[in-house]
Amino acid sequence: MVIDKSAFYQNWNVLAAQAQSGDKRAYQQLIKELIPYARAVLSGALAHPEWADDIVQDMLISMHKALPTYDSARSFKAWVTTILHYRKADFLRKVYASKSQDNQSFEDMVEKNAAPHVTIGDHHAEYTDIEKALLSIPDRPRAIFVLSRLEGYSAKEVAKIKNMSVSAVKVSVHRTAKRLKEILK
Amino acid sequence: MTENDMPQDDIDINKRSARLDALSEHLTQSLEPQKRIFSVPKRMALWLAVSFVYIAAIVLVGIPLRNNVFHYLLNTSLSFDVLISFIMGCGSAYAALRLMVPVSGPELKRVVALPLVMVAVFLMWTIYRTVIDTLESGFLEILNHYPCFDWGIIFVVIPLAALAYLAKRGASTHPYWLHFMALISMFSFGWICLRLTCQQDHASHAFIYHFLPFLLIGAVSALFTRQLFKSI
Repeated sequence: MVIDKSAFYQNWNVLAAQAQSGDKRAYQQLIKELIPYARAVLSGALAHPEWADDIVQDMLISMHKALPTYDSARSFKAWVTTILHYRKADFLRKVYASKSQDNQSFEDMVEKNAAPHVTIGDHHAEYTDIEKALLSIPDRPRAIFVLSRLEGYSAKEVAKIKNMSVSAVKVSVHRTAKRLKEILK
Repeated sequence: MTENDMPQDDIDINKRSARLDALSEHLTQSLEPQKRIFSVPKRMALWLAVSFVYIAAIVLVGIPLRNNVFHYLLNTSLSFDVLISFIMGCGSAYAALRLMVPVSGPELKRVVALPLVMVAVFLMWTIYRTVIDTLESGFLEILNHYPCFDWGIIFVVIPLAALAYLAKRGASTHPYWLHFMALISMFSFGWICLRLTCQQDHASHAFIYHFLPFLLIGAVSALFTRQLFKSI
């Protein structure tokens, strides 16, 4: 069956106008048709496909709030797509601004953020080498390095934990990193 | 197949779909008939009417027009100054009112093009005028007190408040552009009011007493864009 796309989208103008006057059935139909459309627009544009549904949710809520601003003489598809892109940008801004990734170990971050089709098995030997190299570092600088570089603590926080100055923490981390590079060469 | 037998990805997808279904149901049930926001020309007419009435009242009550204003308008460059400010003011007010609803990227460019061109023309004209005035008559006693600063703020406070009030009913996808356009519009109409009320024509005076107050308001208000102009 061939669907006339322009007629399909034109119908959204009608449904949106009916929704503005309080027609719940038209609104339900509109939302039902919007969800796959929004998913299709977002597909391929996100690093994590599961984010799409979060963005679609945000878009639906924004659309609901902004419904009085829709002018039925204009295209509903253009109007709602603008909202979708705005919500996508807002969502991504929040994700990248959050520091949650800083508080994970490197291995956790790789595990969580790797796309399902990406395999990390080939790099396993490299991680083992890094672990071995780390073990060759004396306890105190190793602990400082792990806290700072792998567990995501700031230099100030590490200094507080280890009861030392911030600059001493930075020097220690720098020296350990340099030492690790030499070992791994 | 029970949930325990399903792969984790499938369970997550099912949960997300269920959440979307629940949200759709909730939104549908909470839908009520809505009063549509006025069209842009209607909002523009309303805003111009409020601003005109307010400014006319100010002129009648407290800040009179300069002496021989019509003579100056017909015989000096004042008319050109007022004309470009008026086009810039109307263009940016229209853009601000248009940006109160969701607007796509290409449409944003079309909407802000005229005001930005007019800002460039205005700046070139003002710089030219400042150079000519300074060459002809040197710097005037620009540090003498003039009430233009206070007048400027009085002239624009209600038009700006009216724009912010209209924006409250909107849902902008470009709140910073909306704020910027509102400020240009406010500046343009404030500039016109001061040019028609202040006796002093020297460009350096205009810069210090007619331009800086609006720059100050703009800089301070930029901190409150999200509060002043509702975004989606």
